[in-house]
Amino acid sequence: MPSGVANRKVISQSQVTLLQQWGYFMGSENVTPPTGGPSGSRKKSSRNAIIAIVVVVILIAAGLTAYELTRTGKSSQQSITVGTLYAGSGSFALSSGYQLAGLKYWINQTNANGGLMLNSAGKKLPLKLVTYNDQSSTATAQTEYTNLITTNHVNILVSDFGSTLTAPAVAIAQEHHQLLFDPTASSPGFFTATNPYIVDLSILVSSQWPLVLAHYIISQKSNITRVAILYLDQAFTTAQAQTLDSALVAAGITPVYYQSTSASSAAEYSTLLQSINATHPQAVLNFGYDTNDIAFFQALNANSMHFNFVFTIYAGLEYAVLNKQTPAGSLNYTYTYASPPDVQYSNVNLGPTTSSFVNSWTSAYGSGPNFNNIAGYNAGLLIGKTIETAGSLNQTALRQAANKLSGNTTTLEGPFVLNTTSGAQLGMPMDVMQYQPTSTGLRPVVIYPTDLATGTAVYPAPSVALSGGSPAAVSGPLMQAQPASQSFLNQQAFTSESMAAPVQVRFR
Amino acid sequence: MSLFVDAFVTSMLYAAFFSLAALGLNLVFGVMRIVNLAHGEFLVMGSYLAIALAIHYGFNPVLSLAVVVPLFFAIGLLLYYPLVPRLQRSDDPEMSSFILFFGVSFAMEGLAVQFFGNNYQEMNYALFRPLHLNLLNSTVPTAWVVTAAVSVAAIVAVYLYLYRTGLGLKTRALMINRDEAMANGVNINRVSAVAFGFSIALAAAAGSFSSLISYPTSPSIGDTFTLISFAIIIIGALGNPLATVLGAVVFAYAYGYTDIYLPNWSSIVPFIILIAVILARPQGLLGRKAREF
Amino acid sequence: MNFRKVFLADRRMLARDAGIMVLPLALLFLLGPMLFANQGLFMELAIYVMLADALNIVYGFTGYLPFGFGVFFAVGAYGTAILVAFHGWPVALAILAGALFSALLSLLFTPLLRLSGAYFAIASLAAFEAVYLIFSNSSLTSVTGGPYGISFTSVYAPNLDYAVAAVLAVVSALTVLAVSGSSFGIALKAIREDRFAVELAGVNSLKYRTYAWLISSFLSGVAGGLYGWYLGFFYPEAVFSLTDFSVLVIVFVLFGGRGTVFGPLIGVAVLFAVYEFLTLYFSNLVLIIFGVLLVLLILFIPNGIMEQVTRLGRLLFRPEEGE
Repeated sequence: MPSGVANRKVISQSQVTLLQQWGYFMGSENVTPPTGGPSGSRKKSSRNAIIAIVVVVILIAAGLTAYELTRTGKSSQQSITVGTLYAGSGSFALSSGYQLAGLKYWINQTNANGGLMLNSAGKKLPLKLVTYNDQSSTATAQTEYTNLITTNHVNILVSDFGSTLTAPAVAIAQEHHQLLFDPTASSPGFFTATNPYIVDLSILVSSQWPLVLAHYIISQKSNITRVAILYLDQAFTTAQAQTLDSALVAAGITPVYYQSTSASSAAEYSTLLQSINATHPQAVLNFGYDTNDIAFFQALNANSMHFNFVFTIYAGLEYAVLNKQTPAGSLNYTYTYASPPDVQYSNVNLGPTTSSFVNSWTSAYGSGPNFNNIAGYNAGLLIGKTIETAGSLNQTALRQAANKLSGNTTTLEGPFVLNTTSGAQLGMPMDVMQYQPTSTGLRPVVIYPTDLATGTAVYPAPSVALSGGSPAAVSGPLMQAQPASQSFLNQQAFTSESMAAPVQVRFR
Repeated sequence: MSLFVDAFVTSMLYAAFFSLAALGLNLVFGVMRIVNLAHGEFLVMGSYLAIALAIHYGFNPVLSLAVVVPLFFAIGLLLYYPLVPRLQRSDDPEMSSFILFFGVSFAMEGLAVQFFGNNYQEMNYALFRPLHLNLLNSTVPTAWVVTAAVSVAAIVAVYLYLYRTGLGLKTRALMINRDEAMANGVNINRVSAVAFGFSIALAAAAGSFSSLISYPTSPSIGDTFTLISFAIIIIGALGNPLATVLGAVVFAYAYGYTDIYLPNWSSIVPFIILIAVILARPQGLLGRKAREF
Repeated sequence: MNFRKVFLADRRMLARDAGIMVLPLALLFLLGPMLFANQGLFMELAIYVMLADALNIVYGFTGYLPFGFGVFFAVGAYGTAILVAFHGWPVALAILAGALFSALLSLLFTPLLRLSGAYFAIASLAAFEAVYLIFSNSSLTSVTGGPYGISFTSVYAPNLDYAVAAVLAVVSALTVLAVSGSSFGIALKAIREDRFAVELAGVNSLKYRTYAWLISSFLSGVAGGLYGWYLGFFYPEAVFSLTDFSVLVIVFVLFGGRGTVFGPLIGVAVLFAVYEFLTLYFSNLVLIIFGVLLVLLILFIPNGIMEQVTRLGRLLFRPEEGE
């Protein structure tokens, strides 16, 4: 720091402005300018005024906040409070809204049936839902999760959609010994043997998602040896890409293209696709969120590119959104994860079967449920069963009850299998399906594993020169989906039927 | 048809879109020195309107410009008078505009969620026939070529406005020196209001095409457009529409070629170029006035 | 450093200001969590107090507004998390080292200080984006955790963390007070008002701004480390949140009154309370209400609430001085 003397000279020149503008030095005799400034005693009282007002404002603000926030108080024993967050805006808003709608549907359904039987209360109690909007912000989510636990005293804490918005809840829930019911956060990082206060209800750990898919691609080794994998730089998508990559490499299929990206615009996907195309892949797999998938299909169409095998995640998870917002025909012959409602489990022993759920949902909302709706509803079903099994709202008892259900419960989402020490979900596998055009629209055909298959894959995907504008289902020689066959070997299906079948579908 | 040429063509079209997206911001920032953080939200609103017109009336986005541009110009004028002149009462108008438009962008995102929901919306490619064109031996969608053509037209229009009209002369005078312009009898509010109107109209015009070439339209995508637009006008220079084009070219080609050769680093490169440019030439690539002080 | 020379302002006044500053803050942090059980809210408040103070040092005192100010916060959080999770450092040391990382990063960015006004703001925003994309890049998963985020829940201790954050929030407020009252602070403010005059007097203004920049980034880094510790597990987006840890902080400081000692504290206390209240009770309309509120505030209280408080104080207690 230079000598104070040199400084002071400069400073005294600008003191006047500083004093008048910034109001801090009022009362500080040392720097009082010789003329123009208010006198000492006057300054003192106006200074006291500031101080008084500052203190009052702060205390009022604190008091008001405290009052307003404590007002909610403790919930009575007359109901079971379920607390959750949703993203009303921001990048997770769409998926989060779907999940919440599913959970709400379960709550309404349960309340319509008189509530949940709670042994410790000796009667059926209605469910009360408390929600806050985190706007897709983890910082907001963090305080709101704490609020649910500490001021709303919720009995059941359910996390928001996805890993990003669940992350802030994990440590808080553990700290407050509150079991976190986690519908759709699948990051392996959440589940440790030392934390018993989390249980993954509705989706498989994300690194396990592509296992069936990898198995399928490997089983098609005679057709598919050149694989291109493009993935978004996010935990959910990176985990899947890495699992798939290592599984393929272990089986002797080294991807010809394996890259991450943070792009989400159509123009960028276009360049990425050109780069992928240059490697002449037989299969192109794009791991991204819905917005990435939309840009991906747009770019595919922009380049008039065609690949024998295209896989994306959200084609299945949010079929309605993707089908509506991508160029017509984009999803034809696209592969995706097969999950409910497209996969139907026959041995459901908790809640409705897929078809009866789809029917009741459709009659209530006018359109069918998507995967995240079902994930939210499925979380509700399992929470209800867990509470009834535990017989109380003791959080440790709830976790033990969830462990008890593991392995012998099947819902519309499939078998509920927990890693009973970490709380990670190992059931509810993600199968593989393909959208095949029929005269009435796209038909999701489960192609793998074989015991759940509803048809055979069409490979290579016929190149459809799109005229645009027309919906996916148009006149012309269309592929008819194969009828379900229980016991065929997939390998066989490829060599005999579908290899012979490919028809060049062109309309122009 | 090599990979290099394909990326060249795609990036060229993308650069044209970016120019259109950032052009309005350049006007407002250059003339009024206000930081319009809601620029991207206006773009998104324009996008929603154009998509609605396409869905309900089958309007091609070029046709819908006839509705979008005048409407948003009027909105810009209406917003200017209650908001911007008052800013001058603050000690630091440039930074106060930051909060002001942050507030506006917050509110607009909220309104977009209320009115349009969180769904993604896309303009229909098939409104353009034929679907694809051949450009430099590369197949590209007609929609992108049209976007680029509209962008070029908009740049020419802004150029003509600035260099061939009386109001444009005053606008340039304001950009160079506010005080001297005022001393010479320039009606600051009138000139600024028109520039603000143009800026909003240009943003909305870019929005009419944004979902075709860049991101699917959703309430939360506005920030991304604002950020990219700011980066572009800083790389170029203030005031000059051609500088915006140059900034957009740098940005788009940085994306395009890193997407080929280093895809996992592609998003960083434009920002590193931005920092490098700003340090090497603080006045921007085409700027004359020093931006250091 | 000679204290007599450093503090130009009356030391008795400084002590009184310190008292006025510490008392409400201490009360708030101490009683707050008792009145209202959501400790997370007060933790965030403490973090915002530190960030607002850090921003005030660089923006309030030097006039340089970095949009991408949150980068130092995020790097502090990451530095702490990486050292604890991957290198087994004790938390206290890791937070300190994380803050030093932030300060080092700010040194790297000092060339940006040559830029003026909005250019500096945008350049710092670009720096923010670039650093975010580096930390979240999957190529660096082994170093930063990449898109998988980073977990160090093994040392999770929210109560201790809160206590430390509350104390440091008070300390940071006192730091601003000390800076403001020192010759250093006066020099900064003089530079803000008229850099050329200061340069002519033979003061190296760049050096002063660099010091302010370093202090600010270090303080943000500490806040980031404490916040990261409070989260225990976070993804890159959680700490590299432009809205949460850059824009909102700027809004708080501007609302309170930049360059004043009390302004940013009041700005944080009032607007944070309003914001949290809205998010909890009017969550669907929070964007619209808060957005409109900000517009009205800046239109009608353009220079921050501190100016109004001062004016009101004059009117109430010395009516003859009122305007």
